Formats: sequence, structure tokens, C-alpha cells
Amino acid sequence: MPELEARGAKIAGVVVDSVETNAELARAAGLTFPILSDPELRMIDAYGLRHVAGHDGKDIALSASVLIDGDGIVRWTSITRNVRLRPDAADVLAAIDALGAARP
Amino acid sequence: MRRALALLGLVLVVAGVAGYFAIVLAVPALVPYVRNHALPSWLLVGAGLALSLLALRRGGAGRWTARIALGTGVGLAGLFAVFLYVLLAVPGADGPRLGAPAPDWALADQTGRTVRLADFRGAPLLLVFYRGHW
Repeated sequence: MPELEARGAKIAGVVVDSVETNAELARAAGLTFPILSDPELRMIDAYGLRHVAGHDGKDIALSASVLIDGDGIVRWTSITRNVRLRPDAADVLAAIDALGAARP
Repeated sequence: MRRALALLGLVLVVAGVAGYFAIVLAVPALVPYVRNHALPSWLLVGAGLALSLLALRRGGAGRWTARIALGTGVGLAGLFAVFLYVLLAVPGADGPRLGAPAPDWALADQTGRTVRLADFRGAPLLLVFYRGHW
């Protein structure tokens, strides 16, 4: 998180869980960034990240990271093929740094 | 000697598999690394199988011990591989197209406030889609 802030970047979570569940999670984990509640998978579908029957027969989001630049353009994505895999923090920061390099 | 070698091999295989779960469940700080790279576990499993195989090829008493140790080790390694690479696999997805405008949205955050893509204009935004809190 400090590394993201140092680069002027924001972060937001996206999940099918309810506002209440997300409020509980944010409290428990001390999260200050927005966690977007998408129970109808509208945003998740718009980003092409629906995982059909991903959990107990219910549709959820795939684990994925999407980097959007300050002009609203998608610049980098990382979509898991296996639930245990996540992008390395270093890869995310490198992608953000590449944005800065592309926009003098 | 042959039996000891065979059993040591099996112990290494078990340690490699059990170690993976022990670390993922008990040492949160190491989880991102271990979860992404099961290599240390596979090195232990590989060493264990090699020892059991070595034991099987040696002469002397304990042929069946060596056979059972190697068979159990291979079975465990197979189950571990199925768990890691089959059970945890998810379908592929293309996601949003690179270089295209990001799809807009209007969704409530954890305080009930509506958040839109436009709210983040002017700064890079990292969206983290996740499976859920359960």
C-alpha cells in the first residue's frame, strides 16, 4: 500500500459480497480503500471476469488485477488460472511504473 | 539400511506435502510466496522419491519396505499435484482489453457510498477482483 501511494496510485477491491460483509472485512482488516459490492456481477461481467459456479455453485469473480491509467484506459491485467496464484507485488508496481514512463 | 533409506525417502515426501499446507495455513507472511511457488515442496518430494528409488535398487533385505515407501510416495506426490494443478485450477478469461477504455460502473463501497470509475480519473487505479470473503 505505501508503495502504491508513493506512485500516486489508488486501489479498489471488487467482490460479489454485500456492503455489510465488505464493511465487516474492512473493519477487521483495517482497510481504508473502497471495496465495491457487485452481487449481480454487473461490473464483473463488464470486465469479463465472471467465474461460473466458482464457489458452491454460485457465480463469483475470478481473482484478477486490472490497472487503469489516469485517462481511464486499461493498461495491464493479471488474471489467475489457479486460485492459489496471485500477481507478485513487484509485478504490479512495475506495471504502474511503466505507466509513468509512458506518460511523461 | 535399505529400510531406513526407503522410509527416510517417504518422510521427505510427507514433509514436502505437509510443509506446504503448514506454511500456507500457519505462516501468513510466507503465503504469497509459497502459494505461488510450491517449488520448495516439490524439491523435498523429489528428493524423497529419489531416496526411495535408491533404496529399491539396493540389495539386501527390505525390498517390500522400499516398494511400499516408493509407491506411497508416488501416490502422495500425485495427489499433491492433482490438488495444486487440477482442483485449484479455474477457467481462463480474457478480461478487459488492453488499451481500451475501462468499462464504467457505479457500485456501493463498504460505507454504502456509490463509487464510479470517473472518481479515480487523473491517477492510476488498481482494481483487485477477488473471490469473496467466506
